[in-house]
Amino acid sequence: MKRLNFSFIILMACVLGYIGTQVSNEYYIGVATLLLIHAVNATALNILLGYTGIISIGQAAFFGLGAYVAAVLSTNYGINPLLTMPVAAAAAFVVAYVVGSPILKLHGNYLAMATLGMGMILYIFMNEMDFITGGPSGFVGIGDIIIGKFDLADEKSFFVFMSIVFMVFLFICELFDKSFLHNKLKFIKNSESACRSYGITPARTKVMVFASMAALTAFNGAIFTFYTHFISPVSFSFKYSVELLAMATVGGLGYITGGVIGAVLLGLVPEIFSAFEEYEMIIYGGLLAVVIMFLPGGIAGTLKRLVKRNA
Amino acid sequence: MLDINNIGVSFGGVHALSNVTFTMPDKGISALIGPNGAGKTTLFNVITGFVTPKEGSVKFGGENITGCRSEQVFLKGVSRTFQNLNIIPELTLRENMYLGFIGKEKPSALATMMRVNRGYWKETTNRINECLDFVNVTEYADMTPGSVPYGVLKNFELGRAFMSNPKLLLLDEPAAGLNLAEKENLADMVRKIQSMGICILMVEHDMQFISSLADFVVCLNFGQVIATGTYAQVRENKEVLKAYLGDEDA
Ligand SMILES: Nc1ncnc2c1ncn2[C@@H]1O[C@H](COP(=O)(O)OP(=O)(O)OP(=O)(O)O)[C@@H](O)[C@H]1O
Ligand SMILES: [Mg+2]
Repeated sequence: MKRLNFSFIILMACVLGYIGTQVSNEYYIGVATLLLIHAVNATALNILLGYTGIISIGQAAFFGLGAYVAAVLSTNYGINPLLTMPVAAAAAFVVAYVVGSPILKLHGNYLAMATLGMGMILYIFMNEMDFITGGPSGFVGIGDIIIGKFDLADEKSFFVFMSIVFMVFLFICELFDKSFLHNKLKFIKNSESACRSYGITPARTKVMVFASMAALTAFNGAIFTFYTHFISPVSFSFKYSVELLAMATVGGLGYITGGVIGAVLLGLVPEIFSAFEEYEMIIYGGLLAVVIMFLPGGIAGTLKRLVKRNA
Repeated sequence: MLDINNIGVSFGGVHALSNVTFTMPDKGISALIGPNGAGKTTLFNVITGFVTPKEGSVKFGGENITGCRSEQVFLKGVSRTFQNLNIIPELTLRENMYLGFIGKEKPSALATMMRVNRGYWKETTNRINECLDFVNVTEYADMTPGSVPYGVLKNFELGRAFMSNPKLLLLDEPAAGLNLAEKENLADMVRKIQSMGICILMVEHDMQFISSLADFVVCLNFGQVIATGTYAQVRENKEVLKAYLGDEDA
């Protein structure tokens, strides 16, 4: 059992505290909220790819699945938004478990293709099942999260809510990162044959991790729904899955901090370069190439090495 | 301890093993010898459930384990090393050592994340330190395998296989690539493990190494058993001389 390291958590708490108290521009606060949502998704993918070695190019689909389940349940059936979140997570868990059991037998490029296909199929469902989802024109009229007497309708209060969710999430990630589970996943990522000869069943663990991360991503999707109040399939396309992959890789695969760093960095690209929207993908691709070639372990891995060398 | 009965394995057209039958004694150290490509590693893979034989059976302690999954074979008390090092590069040796123990008493994921099973961790940490110490890798424990000499890594693998306290330990060429001093050191450790009541079956090319250790020797050639017996008996066997010792040191 390793000692917990709170330095990153404290740093994030300070940053979020600063934004929450000192920044008054609603637009910036909105950007920060979205970055936190991306960070959770990128971290979930990081746990899949960086820790367990499961490549998934279908994460956007789970995000979307959660978003639609929450939207439909709260808007059409009047269920409390907070209650729709665990339901969204459970739905994604079941879908990922059923889909994952056969496809996680694949590795590398084949697994990438399979998860890509799964994402595409769910995307088609979102577009075509317009009697439930509203189709390409989207789902409108989604309400607010209401906690007691707080109605999270404005940017600021939603940011506070998301910050709390994010800090809890980071804390759980730290517990995970310093637990035996982290070692077990890294064993599986590196050598399934070694695992099997030491009594671990990689197939079972991989399906559980895949389904759990799908559930987490869907939970996050439900939060996203009540933030934007409007969802359409475009937000959950193949493009977003690839962006998440870029975030996790640039930030640093196999480091909890990696997903967060990557999400903040790449999430800011469209804000900073909003005048050159067509070039967004080029910037993503360029960054990805630079990191893969020159910074093994991504930004988080490189920082960690530098700190170690100077320590 | 181990009954190999009429095992046959083929890969496509290659008969890697045919009609392999022998019984390993219940105690002591046994050796599996034979020229390159004789099928020694394949037999290990059959015993540990990585390869399913097309015919024959493997019995361990009287129980038929043919077709069992590798995980199950491990839990029944069979542990192994690999011919090529199988150590995870991104983890330290200490963390790697934990692999040898993790499958034995599967701790609950939630409990370890919530850090409530301190007793388990205390026991595990002690066992890890004990094993690191036993194979003399304590001073390298917090390094990643990339910066550790090969001989130390070979010892490490022995320690990891021994971590779970198995009944039967399968070692695939434990002495390959070691120098003379390291080999002597290894022989001592193997004897010590044996004296704890753990049965050992090892694949080895170094005849001198075997001669001082093995009580029982099986020789394979082209997937078939050509001799069994004590080291002296096998060494005198004409077929063995022709197939194996001839180009080694006889
Ligand atoms: N997975 C496999 N697929 C196809 N052929 C294989 C496979 N594994 C082993 N073989 C073949 O089976 C035969 C026996 O191989 P094996 O590795 O068991 O030999 P070995 O006795 O361990 O040799 P060495 O001393 O070189 O380690 C060889 O001809 C090898 O090419
Ligand atoms: Mg071999």
